[in-house]
Amino acid sequence: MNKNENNKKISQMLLMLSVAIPVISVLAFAPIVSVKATATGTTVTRIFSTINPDAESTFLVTLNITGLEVGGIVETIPDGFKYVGTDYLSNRTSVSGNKVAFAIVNTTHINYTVKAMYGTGDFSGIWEDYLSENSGEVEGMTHVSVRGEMTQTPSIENVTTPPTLTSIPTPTPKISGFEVIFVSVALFTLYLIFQRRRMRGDKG
Amino acid sequence: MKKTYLFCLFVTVTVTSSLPLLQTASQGEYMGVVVLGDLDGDKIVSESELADNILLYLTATYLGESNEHLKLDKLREAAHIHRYYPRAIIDSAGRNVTIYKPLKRIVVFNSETVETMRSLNATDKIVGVGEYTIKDKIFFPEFTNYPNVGSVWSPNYEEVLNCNPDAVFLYATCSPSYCEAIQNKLNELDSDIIVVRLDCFKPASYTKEVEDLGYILEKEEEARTLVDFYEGVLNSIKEKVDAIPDEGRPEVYFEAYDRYKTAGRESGWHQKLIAAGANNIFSDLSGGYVYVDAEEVVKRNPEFIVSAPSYYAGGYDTDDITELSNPWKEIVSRPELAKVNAVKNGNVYVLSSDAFGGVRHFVAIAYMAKRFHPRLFEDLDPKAIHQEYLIRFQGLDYDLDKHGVFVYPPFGS
Repeated sequence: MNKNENNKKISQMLLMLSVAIPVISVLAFAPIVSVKATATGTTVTRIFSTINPDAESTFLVTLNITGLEVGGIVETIPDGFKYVGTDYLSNRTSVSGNKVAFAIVNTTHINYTVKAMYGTGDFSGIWEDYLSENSGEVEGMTHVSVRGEMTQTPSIENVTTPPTLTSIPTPTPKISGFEVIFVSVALFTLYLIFQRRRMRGDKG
Repeated sequence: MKKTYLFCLFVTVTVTSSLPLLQTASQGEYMGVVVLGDLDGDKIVSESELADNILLYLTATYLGESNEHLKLDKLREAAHIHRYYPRAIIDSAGRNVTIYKPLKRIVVFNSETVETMRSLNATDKIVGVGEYTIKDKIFFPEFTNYPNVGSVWSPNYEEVLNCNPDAVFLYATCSPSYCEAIQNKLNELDSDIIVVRLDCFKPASYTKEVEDLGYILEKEEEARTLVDFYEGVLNSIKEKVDAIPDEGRPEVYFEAYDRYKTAGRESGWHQKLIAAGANNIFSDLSGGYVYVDAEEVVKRNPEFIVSAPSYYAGGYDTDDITELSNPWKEIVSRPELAKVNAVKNGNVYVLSSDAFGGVRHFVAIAYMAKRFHPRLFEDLDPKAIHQEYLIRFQGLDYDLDKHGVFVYPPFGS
């Protein structure tokens, strides 16, 4: 094996590692959220005050919580419905788009109000127990139909993929900006090397 | 040139790739607080602080917001701290000790506490031990290569700090002035280090110490199991001993570590003699271990002499019976003791201090009770108790039928 072949092999190895390490690193530290089936006796059950609200009316959603001493609940409200408010502590509630998050510490029930706008939809939700490390889906009532609005077509800007019965909130990957920048720089450098090698090859 | 260029690239990419690791490590000092999830620095994770942390996590993870928050494993730890901490005990030196978060890194000076922690399956929290633990390679083989923090008589503070401990465990009543000095020095060097003072060798305080250790180490169930076993042995002896009238209790001279050094009423061996159904002829002496005149021993004329000649005589690391038989011969050949009943009647016994001087005092009590009251304790099997303890609680593969020298003359001889 001559010196050039050796150099070529070393270069190939370095390149492979340079690509593999950042990929593995990013994958390994991306947040993994799994909703585990639970047999711990923890239940969060959803009850609607009505399953056929009138359009433009509000209705109550109650979450009954059993066996969840310290945890979190995230509810996903379907299109055609809008979160209005809650009687739960405001500093333990956060809303963004169609998702509502509740921080749970020694709470047995939460009421929140939703405005019915059009169509039908399925509510979904998850809970996480930070003491037992279990998690699960909110059980109970899911489906709501706005009275007299079954055939109404939503406006174009409101068309989204309807949630499935078992939809799980998608976690937001928590990769810091620095990591993305560094990995991007590394990949770009690789690209430059390839280009340079190609140019040298062309010259040779 | 090309190789250098590629090498630099490799280093750059490797370093940048490890950034997530660095980020994860920094989570341990989230917001610069000592107790995870404590936002106001009072070392307690209140309900509102925990709720704040949960909401930050949920909004970042599920609602797509950008914020500084605890990762899931740290949030779980904060929830655990909120639910189960602080934990407070009064240690064996009478000090109020409050633990604000799970102890993960503990330096233990006294081997008795190391042994008790092993019974509680809690040695994974130990990061440094005293020199006597390290030297005892037969009983503590797993600590041979641990950082050596010295002894309470000669502590190595630099090594203690190198261990970066959450807590340091020290004797409570053994050499109290030395332990007090260590406690003060540690407080001066790093006030965040929690000092807990435990003896783990005295019958009077052992049960409470096991329970306290179980509590602060979150090993309550293991502590209950150990206490059940320990008290099961001692209570079975106590029930019978309590029924013995005073005149039925033999007068015993206990000689500890040196000629005519005996056990005063504050010593552990005094408590062991009483528990075994004997009277200590020097129970009128205050303090721990004190020297007495040979004439006083003769004058008090004990029915039994029990000796624990030195820390290194007998034990688990030897099969040489002469380590105990030679001290026995030395005692029985002392001219001044020739007319003492114990010597005249052949009631001189030598015990291994290594084996019976610390936590295993309950085994020593069983051996002595059987010796002092052979008929009353006909069914008591000290060796079986000893063996069960070694296997079940210490996890040691040690066969007492094959190895070790613990009592002379041996039972049955």
